[in-house]
Amino acid sequence: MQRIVEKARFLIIDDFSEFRLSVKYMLQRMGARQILQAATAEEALSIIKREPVDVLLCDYNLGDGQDGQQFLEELHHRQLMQPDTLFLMVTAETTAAKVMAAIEYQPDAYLTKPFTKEQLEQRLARLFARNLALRPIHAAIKEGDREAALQACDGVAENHPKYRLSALRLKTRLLEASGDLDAALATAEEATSIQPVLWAQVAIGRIQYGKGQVETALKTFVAAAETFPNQVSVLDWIARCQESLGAMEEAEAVLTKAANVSPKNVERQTLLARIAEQLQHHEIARRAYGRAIKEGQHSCMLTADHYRHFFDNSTELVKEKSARERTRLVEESERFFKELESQYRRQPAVLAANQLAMARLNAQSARSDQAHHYLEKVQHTLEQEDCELTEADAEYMHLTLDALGDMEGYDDQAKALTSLVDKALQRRHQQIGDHEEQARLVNEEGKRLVKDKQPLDALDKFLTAHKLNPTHPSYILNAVQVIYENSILKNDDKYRQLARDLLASVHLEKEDERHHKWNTFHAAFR
Amino acid sequence: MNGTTNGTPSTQPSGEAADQIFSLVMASAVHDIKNSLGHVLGQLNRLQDALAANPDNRRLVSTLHYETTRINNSLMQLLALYKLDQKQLTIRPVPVELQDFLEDCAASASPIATHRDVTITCQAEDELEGTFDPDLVGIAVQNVLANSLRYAHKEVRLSAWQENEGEPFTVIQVEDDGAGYPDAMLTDPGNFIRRISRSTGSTGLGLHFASTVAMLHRRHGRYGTITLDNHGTLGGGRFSIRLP
Repeated sequence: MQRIVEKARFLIIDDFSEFRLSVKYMLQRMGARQILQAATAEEALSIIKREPVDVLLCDYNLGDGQDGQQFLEELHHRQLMQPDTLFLMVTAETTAAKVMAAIEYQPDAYLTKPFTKEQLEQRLARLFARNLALRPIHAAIKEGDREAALQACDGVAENHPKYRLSALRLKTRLLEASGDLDAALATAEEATSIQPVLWAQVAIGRIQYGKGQVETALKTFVAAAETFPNQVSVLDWIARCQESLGAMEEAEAVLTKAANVSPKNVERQTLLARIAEQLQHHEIARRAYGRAIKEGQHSCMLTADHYRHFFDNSTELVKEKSARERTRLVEESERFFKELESQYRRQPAVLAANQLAMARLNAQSARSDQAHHYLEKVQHTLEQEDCELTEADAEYMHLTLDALGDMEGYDDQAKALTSLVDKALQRRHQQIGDHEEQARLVNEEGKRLVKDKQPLDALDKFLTAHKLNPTHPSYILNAVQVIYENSILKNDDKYRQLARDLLASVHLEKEDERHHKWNTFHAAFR
Repeated sequence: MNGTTNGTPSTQPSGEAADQIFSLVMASAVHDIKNSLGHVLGQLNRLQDALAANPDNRRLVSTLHYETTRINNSLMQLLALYKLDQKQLTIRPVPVELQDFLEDCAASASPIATHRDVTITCQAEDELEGTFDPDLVGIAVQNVLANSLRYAHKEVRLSAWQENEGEPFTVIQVEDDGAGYPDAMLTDPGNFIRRISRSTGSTGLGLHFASTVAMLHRRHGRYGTITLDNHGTLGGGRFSIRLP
C-alpha cells in the first residue's frame, strides 16, 4: 500500500480550498507525494488532458459548473479514464448522489463528508487491492487485446473469488462492446445469480434492448425500478424502451419524473425534449432543450442542434401566445442565439441554420424588422466561401424557407435564399469529391514509394491519404503494412503503438475481403 | 419599494409555501453547520498529530473529536426526523457495499475508540451489497456504535450479511463485550421515552431514530425492524437492524 500511494498521482477536486488542503494533508500523511488540486471540473479536465492521474477525489457539488457525476461521465466520453483509474466521489449525502449516478459510469467509491484519514486510507487500501487483483484484465484492455482480457476475467473470477463480481462486470462490458450479446447476457445473468446487483440487472435489460427484445427489456427495467425506485438511469432506460414501443406519452411522463430528480443531465433532457417534440408538446420540449443548453455549457454532449430546436419550439409556441408572452419567448431565444453565435462563429453552416430559425421565430412573432435583419445574416453567411452545407442542413433550411415563403412579405427573400442554400450544398459535394480524389492520388504515390523502398515517405503518404478520406480503411491497412514489412519499424515501440492505434480505428466485417489482413496485423502488433 | 408604502400589506406566503420555505432554510442551515463541523474535525485531525506526543493533549483532542461527531450525528437525526414530520423524508434504497458501509461507520467512531482503547472490527464479505438508504441507516448505526463504545471493555464488532432464505433481508449488527443492555430496555423495547435520562446523556433519540428508519424501509409488504438483546458473540449487548 505504502509504495503504491507513494507512486500514485492524486487529484483533489473541490471548490473549497480548506477542504482540498485537509484532504491533501491526509494524503501526505499516508505517504503520497504527487498531489494535484483543482477548484472546478474544467480545471481538473485540463490537468487530466495534460497528464493522466491515478486517483481522483472529487466533490459531488462543485458550485455553478459541472457536478462530480457529470464530470465523471465527461471523462468517460472523452476516454480519459484508464481501466484502473480510481474515482472517489465525495458527497454530503451519498444516497442522493447514488440515485443520480448513471449505472454505466459509477465512481469506484463514495466518501461521505466529513471523513477521517483512517476512512480514506481503508477505502484506498481496498481499491488498490482490487486493482492489483484485476491487473491482468486491465493490462489486456489497455493493450486492446480483447481475447486476452476475456481470459484474464475468467482467471480472476477463478483465482480471486472475492473479486468475482468485478471480473464478471468487466467481462460483460467487454463482450457487449464487441457485439457478442448472447455471451454478454449469460455473463450478466451469472452475476445476478450470485447477487441481484443493480449493474447486472441494468446490463441484462440493456443487452435485451440491444438484441431488439424491447418488451422483455422493459420488464427487466421495471423490475429493477421496483427494487431501486428513483434510480434515474433505470427510469431513462424505461423511457427509451417505451419510446421504441411507441408509448410516447408514457415515456414522456417517466422522463419528466427522472428530470425532476436529476435535472442536470444533458442526455436525459435531450431525450425528453425529442420525445415531447414528437408529441408536439412544444412547451415541455422547449423547456427541456433550454435546460440542456444551460446545463451543457461545459459538456461535450451539447450540440448546435439543441439551440435550433429550442428556437423552433419557441416558434411553435408563439403562434398561440399573447404579445407579452411572445416577447419573453423571443428575448430568451435572443440570449441563447448570442451564445451560439460566439461559440460557433467559425462554423458558417451551423450559423446559417440557426440564423434562419431565429428569422422564422421573429417573423412568426410579427417582428418583421428583426426577421429581415436575421435573413440578411443568413444571406451573408451562405455567401461565404467556406459555408458548406450537409444534406441535413440543406433539408432543414429548405423546409424552413418554404414555411417562411408562405408568410406575407417573405416570399421573394425566401426564394433567393433557397438558391443560395443549393449553392452551399454543391460547394460541399465539390469539396468531398476533391478530397476523395486527392486521397486516391496520394495513396498511389505511397504505393510507388513502397516499390522504391522508401518506407518512411510511403507511410507519410498513406497517413495523409487517411486524413483526407478517413472513411477508407485501405489507406490505414497500407500504412500498417509498411510498418509490418519493415523490421526496424516493426520493432520500434513508437511505430508499434501507431500501428495499434490505426488498427483500433478500423472496423471491418468478417465478410470483408480485407478482414484477414487486418487480423494478421492485429495479432502481430498485439 | 415595498408593498406597505401605499397602504396594502406585503403578500405573505400561504401556509404550505411557508412550511416549504422553512424546511429549505432549516436544511441549508443544517448543511452549513455540518460544513463547519467537518472543517473543525479536519483541523482536529491535524491538531491530533501535532499534539500526539503529550497524552493529556491527546485525550483532550479526542474528547473534542467525540463531542463534535456527536453534535454532527444528532443534528442529522434531528433534521431527518423533522423532515419525516413534514412528510418530506423519503427513503431511497440504493446498492451499498456492506464492507464499505461498515468501515465508514467504524471510521466515524475511530478517534473515540482509540481514546478508550477499544477495537472496532468489521465483518462483511467483499463485494457483497445490500439495498438500503446508506445515509439514514448510517446515522442510525453510527449512533448505536458510539453508545456501544461507551460500555465496551475491549471490543465492538460490526457485521453485515444477507439473509437469502425466502425474501432477502440485509442484517447489520453492532455487538460489544460490555455489561449488556439493562433489563428495562429489553423487556419494553418499544418504549424509547422511558430511557430518557439526563444523567447518562441518553435522550432516546438514537433508538427512536433507528426504529423509524427501519420502519421506513418497506418492500413487498414487509418492513424493517430493530432488536436489542444480550446474546451476542462478545458477551455484551447486541443491536440488530433487519432491512427488507
